[in-house]
Amino acid sequence: MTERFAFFPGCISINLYPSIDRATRLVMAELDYELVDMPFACCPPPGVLRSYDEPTWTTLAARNLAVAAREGLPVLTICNGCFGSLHEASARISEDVELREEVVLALQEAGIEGAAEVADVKVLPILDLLGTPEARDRISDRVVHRLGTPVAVHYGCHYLRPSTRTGRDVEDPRVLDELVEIAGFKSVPFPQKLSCCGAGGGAWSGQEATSLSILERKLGEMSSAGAEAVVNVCPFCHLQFDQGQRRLGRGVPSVPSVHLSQLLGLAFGMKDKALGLHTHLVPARGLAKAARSARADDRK
Amino acid sequence: MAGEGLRARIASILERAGVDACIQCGRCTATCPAALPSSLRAREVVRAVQDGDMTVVTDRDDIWHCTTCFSCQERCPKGVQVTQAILWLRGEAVALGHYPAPHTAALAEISRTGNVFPLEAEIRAVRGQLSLPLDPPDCAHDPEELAAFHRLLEVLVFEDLAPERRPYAGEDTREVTGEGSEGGEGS
Repeated sequence: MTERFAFFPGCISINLYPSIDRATRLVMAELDYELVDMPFACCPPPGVLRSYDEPTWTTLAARNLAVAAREGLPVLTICNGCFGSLHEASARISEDVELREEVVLALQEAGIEGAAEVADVKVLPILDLLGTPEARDRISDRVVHRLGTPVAVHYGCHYLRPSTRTGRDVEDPRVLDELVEIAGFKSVPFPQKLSCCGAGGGAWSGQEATSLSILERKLGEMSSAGAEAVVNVCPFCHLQFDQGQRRLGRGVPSVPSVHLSQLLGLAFGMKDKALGLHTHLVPARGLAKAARSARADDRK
Repeated sequence: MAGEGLRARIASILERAGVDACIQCGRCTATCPAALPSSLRAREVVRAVQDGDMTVVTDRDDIWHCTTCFSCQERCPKGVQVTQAILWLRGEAVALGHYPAPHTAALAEISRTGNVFPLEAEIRAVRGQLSLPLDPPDCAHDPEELAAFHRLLEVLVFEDLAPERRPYAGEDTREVTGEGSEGGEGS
């Protein structure tokens, strides 16, 4: 039976990078996973809002969990920020009875349906789903073009850390590298691979110089390693990579950014335009060209 | 402005984040991506909490340069929840009106549409080009859900989340985004 998920695209992919929203839908359909749309609101931001008031942040995240609870579905996130907020909220609500009672009470007072089941909802980042043996097999079966393009993988902070919450190997994670290789691309090693893109914590909007300086260093490392693109699993990191290169201006090495779903779409033989690569500020022209040429060869 | 209440709350952060275990080794600062381009020194922030030095909240915007990447917390050999402590310190700064000016717009957007990033006409058109529904099937486009969301904000007294902004003493307020960042490199 087709597995179903409450699809949580996040406000960046629906409102700033619909290319990621679209590519995820195409790729997940190809992999036979069903994404169910639900009236979610912002996760809300784990940097800005959490800094202001944790109970408010937790309760707004819990509203999203309540929405998913109505269908009894696990939440599938495609953004580390969304995962960070929803997963942390879910964990806190599960382990702290007093907090759970306060949250449920606030949700019920506002008339939010599904409030009572808020602690039962699981939150799954797309990387954890695609990293399962079954998903790896499905991906492998559907790859039609092994493009071999060297790419830098970017896990992003809130997928990995804190390990006390995520339970992951935070010093040498492999799943994204392996998926990229299964899809026929080459994951290049580079220094500071697991470090921050510079966007989080409210720094993207609040501390532009700090945020862009962190980005510039990261882009330099990836470019020096020969990466033709950076693969992310987070539209907020993507936003930082894509818009940030523009904000930094000329003289900065160009490393176009693509979400994992877009990279998989290319490997599955989908058109780069259908995946929206051209809608990014720094389009991944090299990847698009390689994919087009592979498609042209197929037709010969 | 800051009195005994703040002192007590910083003492509570010390306890809740396990800050008293800190041995001032500096690994947090060493692993911090914001330490190079900004004035943030995680070790010094932790030290201030140990010492009950309230200026970390009242006088300096260092804590707002943290990207919450959790590297410091992950690598702390004594298990100090450094990032969590910074987040709680920010909450104390907010209560005094100290926060980056651009965050005001982010909070206003959440209270309007439920999303921190709004949908602009230009991107709405891109959605159409990509064969997505022009309006995403989210809370913002479901009148009943949005009404319930707004009721929830009322229950949470969301409008009081951030008091009127009061720049840090000496903060450069000439630019909207001028948040100090001494030692921060330009781009």
